[in-house]
Amino acid sequence: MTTYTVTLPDIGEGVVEGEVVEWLKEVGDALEQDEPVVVVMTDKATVELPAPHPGTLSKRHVEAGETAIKDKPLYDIELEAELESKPEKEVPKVVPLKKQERRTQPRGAKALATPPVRKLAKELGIDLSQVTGSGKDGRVLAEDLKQSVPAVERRDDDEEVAWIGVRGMMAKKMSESKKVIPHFSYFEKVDAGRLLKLHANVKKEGDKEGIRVTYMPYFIRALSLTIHEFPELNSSLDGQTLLLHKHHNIGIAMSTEQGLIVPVLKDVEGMTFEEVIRNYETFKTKSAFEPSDMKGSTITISNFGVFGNGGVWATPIINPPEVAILAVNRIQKQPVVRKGGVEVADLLDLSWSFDHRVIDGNLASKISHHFSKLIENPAHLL
Amino acid sequence: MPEMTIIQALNHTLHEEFARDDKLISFGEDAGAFGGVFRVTEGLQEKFGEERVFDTPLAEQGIVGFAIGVAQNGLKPICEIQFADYIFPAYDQIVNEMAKMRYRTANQYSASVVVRTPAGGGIHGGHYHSQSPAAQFLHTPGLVVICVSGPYDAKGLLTAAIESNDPVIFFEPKRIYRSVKEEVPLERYTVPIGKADLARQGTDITLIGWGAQHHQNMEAAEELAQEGIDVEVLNLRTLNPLDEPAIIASVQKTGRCVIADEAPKTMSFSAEIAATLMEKCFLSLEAPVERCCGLDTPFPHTLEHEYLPDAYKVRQAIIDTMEY
Amino acid sequence: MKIPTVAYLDPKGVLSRSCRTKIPDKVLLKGYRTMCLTRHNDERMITLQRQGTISFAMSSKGEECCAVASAAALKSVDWMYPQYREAGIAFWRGMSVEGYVNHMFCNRNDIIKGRQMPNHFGSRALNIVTVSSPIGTKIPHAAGSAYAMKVKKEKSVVICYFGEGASSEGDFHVGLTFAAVRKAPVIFFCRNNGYAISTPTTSQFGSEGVAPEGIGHGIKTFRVDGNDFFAVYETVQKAREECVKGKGPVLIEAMTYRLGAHSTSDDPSRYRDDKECRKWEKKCPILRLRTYLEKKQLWDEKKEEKLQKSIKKEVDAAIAAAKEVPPPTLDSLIEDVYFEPTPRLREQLHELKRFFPGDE
Repeated sequence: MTTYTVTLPDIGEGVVEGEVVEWLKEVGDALEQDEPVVVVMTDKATVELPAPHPGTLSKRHVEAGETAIKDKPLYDIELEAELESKPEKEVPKVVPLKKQERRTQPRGAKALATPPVRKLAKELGIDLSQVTGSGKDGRVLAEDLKQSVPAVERRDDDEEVAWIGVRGMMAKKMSESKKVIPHFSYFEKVDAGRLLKLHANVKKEGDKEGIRVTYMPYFIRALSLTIHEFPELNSSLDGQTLLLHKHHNIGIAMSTEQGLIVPVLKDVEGMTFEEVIRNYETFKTKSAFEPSDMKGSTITISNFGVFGNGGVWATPIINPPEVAILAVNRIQKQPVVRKGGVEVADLLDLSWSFDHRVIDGNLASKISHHFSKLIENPAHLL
Repeated sequence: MPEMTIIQALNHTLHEEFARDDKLISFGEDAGAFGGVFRVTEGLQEKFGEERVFDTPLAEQGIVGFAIGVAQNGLKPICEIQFADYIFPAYDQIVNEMAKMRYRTANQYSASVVVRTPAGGGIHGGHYHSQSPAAQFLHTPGLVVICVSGPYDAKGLLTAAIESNDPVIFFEPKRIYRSVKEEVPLERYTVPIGKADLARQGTDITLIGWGAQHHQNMEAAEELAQEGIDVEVLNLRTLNPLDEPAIIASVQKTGRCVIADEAPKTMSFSAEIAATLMEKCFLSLEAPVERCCGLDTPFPHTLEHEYLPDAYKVRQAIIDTMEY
Repeated sequence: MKIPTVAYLDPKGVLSRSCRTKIPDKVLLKGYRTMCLTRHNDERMITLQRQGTISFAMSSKGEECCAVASAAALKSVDWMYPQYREAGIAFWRGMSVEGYVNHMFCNRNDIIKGRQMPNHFGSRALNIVTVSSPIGTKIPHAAGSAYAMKVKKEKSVVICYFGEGASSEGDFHVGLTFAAVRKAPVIFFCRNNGYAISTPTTSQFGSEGVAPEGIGHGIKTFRVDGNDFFAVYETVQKAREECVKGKGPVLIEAMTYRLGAHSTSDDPSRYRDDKECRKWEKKCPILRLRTYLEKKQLWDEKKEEKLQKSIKKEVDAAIAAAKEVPPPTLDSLIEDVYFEPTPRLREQLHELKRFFPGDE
């Protein structure tokens, strides 16, 4: 004896359920082929459902007044004869498609690029989101790709550190700068003996007012005075036009927990030395910089001496659209040749980087010399 | 809040709106005393009378032509075409009169008619009970074309269609008339015409659909979430006017798009959407916009399952686009 | 205007003496058997639908005579355009039950390859143009087709069947107009069966039935008792002669009643009284012809039993066979859209096969 479960069939036109109105047969009754067994009401029609096979009604799954669901059991028939082991007419089973290997798509900020450029990027293995677009609205052009860094091979045991935020920005900007600007380095040693003496007095004055004066105000002042002499030092190159900036907005490179930031001390050109000291004090003791503080620099100073890790020279990277950057170290006692002999002097090492599109070797040496002279004769700074 | 099927939501809306505004009139084949072959107009004649709710002769051309006249002279007709497959005798009236009335008379007259009609396949309806002829109307300026996917939108958009000053072709997805249930507020509300629904937020790819297809799309999206693809699903709800800001914002965000539509692929509305995305999101596209549609054949009876762009096919279209 | 209803054989099986037409016994017997087969087959198809085996079914219960008697009065070269409630014409002309049932199963042996819903029968070999769902669309076709016959100087006619609801469609008007003006040899056969789904005739037209519309179009018009084998046979025969003589189209309004539902998607208890049905059951065309045949000693209880048994057996076998036939091939999906599949279609089929690699 086999049991055949009759489900509520598809009565038509999207009907998914129906209420059992009346059972025409009781459990135990014999059912003939096609004999009406149960009356079901849908919102379209009330229909009699006939038995698909002869046998005995052995179980009613849904009673009168209850709702039968399409394709769910309605009643069981104990079959008279074994049904031929022909399977029920099967809806063609879809063969599942093999999950193909998926190429990992580089994620990140969606870059703007035309389809041919995207294709080229893919061929070159370049992650578009890492490329600065030089086209309209920041669009990445084919030329940008040619200058771009190709994607990096990853090893299985590499530890991954997210290089985003300030650090990510630094990576982007530094790379950009070096790509575009022909950097020219110029180094100079400056005798800081008189500066130290001057500073001793200035420091005392400062302590009285609770201001801890460092060497930075001197460098800032000296730079500003040098700009007055050599305005090209404080400019930006825009295609075939050199913009000479009136304002001396000195970017002061600073190291923070998040990484390198360069807040800007603005309008130094109009400040007296004392004002420079005071403004710099206010500036460096700020608890937080505003977005406006981070923009608009026309030249940058980086003091790596404050790290206290030694070092001699550096080749600092210019902050576009500026044309120069000055890196200074700690003033250190170093041997120097004077009057035919070797003496110990307090020397300041200067490391300049200049944009050689604007400042050539001749001008570079003049600029550095002028700056150095101001440091060596600091009375001129006041 | 009660749960309703699309049919219940539509019926409830008609009852509410008829009570509210005695300028409303409804008619169609078997849509008066019988309440419509899908029961959408059930009970209306009993409650509001035979003058306002009646059976028409078997003539779609007449149903729409007559409705246009009714609307011209100040009443609001909501006429029913029994199956969208049978709308074509009325095509001349819809395209040449209904759609152009306001324009050709410089706003002196209008034909603010709502034409309701069940469309779409999936019920073994063959050529003449399964068509999705929306494209034939989308190519006609002057018509608002709506296609909802669920009871909440059905009430909201039917109410909005009734309020609209423009003629509306209101396609109802018959396949899911009874199988989709949602909570529907009993208070009156509208869903704005021309606004798509962001049914699922995602970051990898935009999937656009409407009507019954939307449910296939959601199913595909849920599947793919398990496979690590995050699909953003948009349900257009209104076809014309198209919610361009929504589709553009989405594709600019994801950079990839699949559009799914039951109708035959050639000249399906998906083609217009794809062209728009190509124009407006060109620089954001990482792969061509893919269209997952029916074949360019009459809608078949027995091979219906093979024909329809179900969740399985949509899923594959998405994978193909992600791997482009 | 008063249009008389031609009637000879009453519900009690009595043939009026005013009937001048002699129908050969073998025609009557074949007619009777065909009507019985049609009725039984329709019932079995509905049962299959209620069991979920096929998707849809209709029946011509109560109207079998309209189809069979009219078919009997025509010749096999005459073309037929059915609406959908005339399955009897297919059986009269020799469609096998197996062929009909394969179509109802929409399987691989279905003559129309499972493309349309069930009940969309047709056969070129039998000059029966395949049914399509939209109402009235065939009326202008029939007019044009008949006209072609006239141009080719063929001695044949076209018959176009439709219900009274179709007379409301624009196609009815244009079909009749074109046929009238071109004098096309077409018989417009309207089964006025009282309902278009749920819509009664009072909501369908303002005229008294459909016959006045034929007169309005300038067409020779008859009204007959559609359940009367003799009336239908004679009138169609007359109509055929008119057409063949080049006198132009003819409209026949056959008064009958739809005893069953519109289709398996319909429930007539929602819009009409059972009393009405039972009244018309007494006027059943099969019943009255049987009574007549029995009176003429051409039929008896034993013959009836034998007939019903053999019909059941034939249908049983057709159903059992149809269940074994697989669905149509995937390739058939793109065939016949055009004379030759286009490259685009071939591409779409190719893409489709990705998803159904097992199917041919």
